[in-house]
Amino acid sequence: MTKDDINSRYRRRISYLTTLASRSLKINDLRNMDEDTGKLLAMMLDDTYTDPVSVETQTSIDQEETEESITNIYERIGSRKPVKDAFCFEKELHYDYALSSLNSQLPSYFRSLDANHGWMIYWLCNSLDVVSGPDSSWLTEELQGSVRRKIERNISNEGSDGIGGGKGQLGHVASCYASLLSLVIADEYSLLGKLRNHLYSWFLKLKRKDGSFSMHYGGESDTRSVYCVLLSATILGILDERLSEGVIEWLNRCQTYEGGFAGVPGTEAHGGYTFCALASYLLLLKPCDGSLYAQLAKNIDMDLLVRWCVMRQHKAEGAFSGRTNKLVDACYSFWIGASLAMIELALQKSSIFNRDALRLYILNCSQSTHSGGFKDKPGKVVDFYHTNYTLCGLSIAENQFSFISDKDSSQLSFALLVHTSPVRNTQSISPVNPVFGIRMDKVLKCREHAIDKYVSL
Amino acid sequence: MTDTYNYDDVKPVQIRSDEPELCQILYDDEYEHTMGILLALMRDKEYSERALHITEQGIELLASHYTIWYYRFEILTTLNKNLFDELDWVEQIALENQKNYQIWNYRQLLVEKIIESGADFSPYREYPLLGEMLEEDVKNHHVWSYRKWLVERFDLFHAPKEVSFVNSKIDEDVRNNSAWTHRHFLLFGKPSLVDETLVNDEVEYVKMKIELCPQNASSWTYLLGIYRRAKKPLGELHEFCLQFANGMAESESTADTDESQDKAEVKSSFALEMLARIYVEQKEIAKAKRAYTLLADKYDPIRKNYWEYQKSVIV
Repeated sequence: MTKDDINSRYRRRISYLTTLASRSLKINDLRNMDEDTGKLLAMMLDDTYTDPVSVETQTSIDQEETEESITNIYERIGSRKPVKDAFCFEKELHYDYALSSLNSQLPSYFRSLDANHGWMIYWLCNSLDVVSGPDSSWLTEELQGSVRRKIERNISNEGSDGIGGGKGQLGHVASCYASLLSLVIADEYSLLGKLRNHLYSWFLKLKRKDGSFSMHYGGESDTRSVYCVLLSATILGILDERLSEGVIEWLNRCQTYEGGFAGVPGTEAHGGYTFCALASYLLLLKPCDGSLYAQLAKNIDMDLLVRWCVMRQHKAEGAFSGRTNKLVDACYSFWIGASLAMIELALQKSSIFNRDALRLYILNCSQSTHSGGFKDKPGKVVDFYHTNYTLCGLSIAENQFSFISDKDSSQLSFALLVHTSPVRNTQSISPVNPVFGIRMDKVLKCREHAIDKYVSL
Repeated sequence: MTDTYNYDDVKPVQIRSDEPELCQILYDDEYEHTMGILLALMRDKEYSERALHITEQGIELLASHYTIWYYRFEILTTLNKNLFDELDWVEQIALENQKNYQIWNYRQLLVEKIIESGADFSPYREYPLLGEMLEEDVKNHHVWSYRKWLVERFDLFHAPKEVSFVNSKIDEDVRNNSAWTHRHFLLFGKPSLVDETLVNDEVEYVKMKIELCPQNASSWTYLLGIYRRAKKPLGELHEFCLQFANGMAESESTADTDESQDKAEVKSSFALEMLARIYVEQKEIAKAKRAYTLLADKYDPIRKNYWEYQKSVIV
């Protein structure tokens, strides 16, 4: 380490300590306020009981830097009176951002997304759908047609070689997943019906001996590819024994000693892969075989899973990190938020994490009030991906989850039986199903189609 | 650039549509031309030198284009190309594309093919590249996953070189969770090599790292993970945990009084959590509840709901 490095470290440290001293005064003010927001901010800003960093490493340096930039934002909110406006949601801006992105011609550097056309459609249509009310006025007949044509271009051999990320590209399970979700959002069930049998034969070709699925011909397999196949098959009503054989046993192997799930057995627990694994269980397990908790506990270590997921929430930021000792990122509002929602469903508990702290981060650190859209963290720029998953995460934070039960549902999976209710009266956006990542009413429609198909199987 | 080979006979796939399209990318001419020819050759199943050449150009333009990697692999194996040369080429691409997914699966395919052909392959050949990649981003998920694959594929469990590598990464940054995960796989990934001595040595190792840095999620989670898998009683850790969370649960009072909380001296919320788990295991209900209350109210309030839940399920 050079002398300059050490000097700059000391400077950072001193400025940090000065901030702390002035902070403690404000915290007392906040704590004594009647408003819940004041108390929430006081809890997040208070670091009296946080052990000072004993050994400085790259991880702690990065963490302190991020924490500081976010703490500054929360301090500014805390000094405003009243602090009620800490939860402003710029609905119209996000609507405009998503709609104009969908319709605009993207500059050539967007070619980095050239293998992700289906994804772009899903991220943007879903963002629009989630910020809009149940009337879905954004979905004009013209736009419906555009979505269908866009997806049609990427279908390979009528679907028996899958759906690719762009025209002429190899069928890819994740692109197929995003494309099918787009069709569900756009209410294009006729195309879904045409694809059904072809995609079934493609999924069988991708099925591996160990129970998992390849992402594409010659591709890797991981919890992501497994989730994408199971969800696609559920939408199409074709999830049968041949597809689901050995999947649970394979998923079980992906839980790590930490409690979260890795992409493949033996690698690091990760928010995205944990979501995929948990959602997969909910797509496979059915209420007729017992409670969700009992069935999960038979397969995996629930205690460590719950622990790992709740540990992802950072106190000073309120948001989630995707791995142990990594920085927060707004996209995990959904990957971890939805995992926690599924855990709440299993535990039959209304809230196992701090929803308001997550909302605080989303609306003040991730939301762009200039251009619309959402970003990873302060200092980053908005993009389609973060916009969609942060909105979905916001929806998770605004709702609580339970299962519906009715006679028709005995052969349906838990994923199709999720019910939501708002945590408080004022809701910014539509409720999202934590397994599907799309609006509840769209999943319900899908479920009606699925029931018909299971009868005909 | 395309001078070397002639593609005049190829009718390119039109990746740009004439009608308006959602999320239409305004491709530059070079990209549109290269991809158009590439996709056309692939559709026609042409496995030739010129096809190989254009995949190289395509990958340089967009390394995350998974279709090109698939096609390139088909060409290479059909033409019986030297796959060691290919590994060298991919190395450059990897270094230029830190966040890329496809490269690592592709590399695995190449290595498998080399082994299949009967050629010798030393996993240590991969070390300089992996080292350099981790220099750039020491928690790169794909690089660590590939490294894990090497350990499994070439039976490097407990290999001294690998152990000293992972030690050095933990020494560099004791909070590097990717390194801890790799360590776990390296030492516990092959059940036939796991015995009591290993477990005990490992417990001592983690304890040492916790003493160095008590508020570290990685090391505590590792410790809990080892105990869980070895089915060891957590009570063994009682004395150890008290070093970092003392005074709070030792009082005889069963009430969650402020007085007993004030005596607490907590350097690590993870130690306090471990104590709570120990008390649950030992059926010391009052102490366990007190520890969870302290976590909920003072030492880890962001997880208040979780700690309250933990308290509610104590039997």
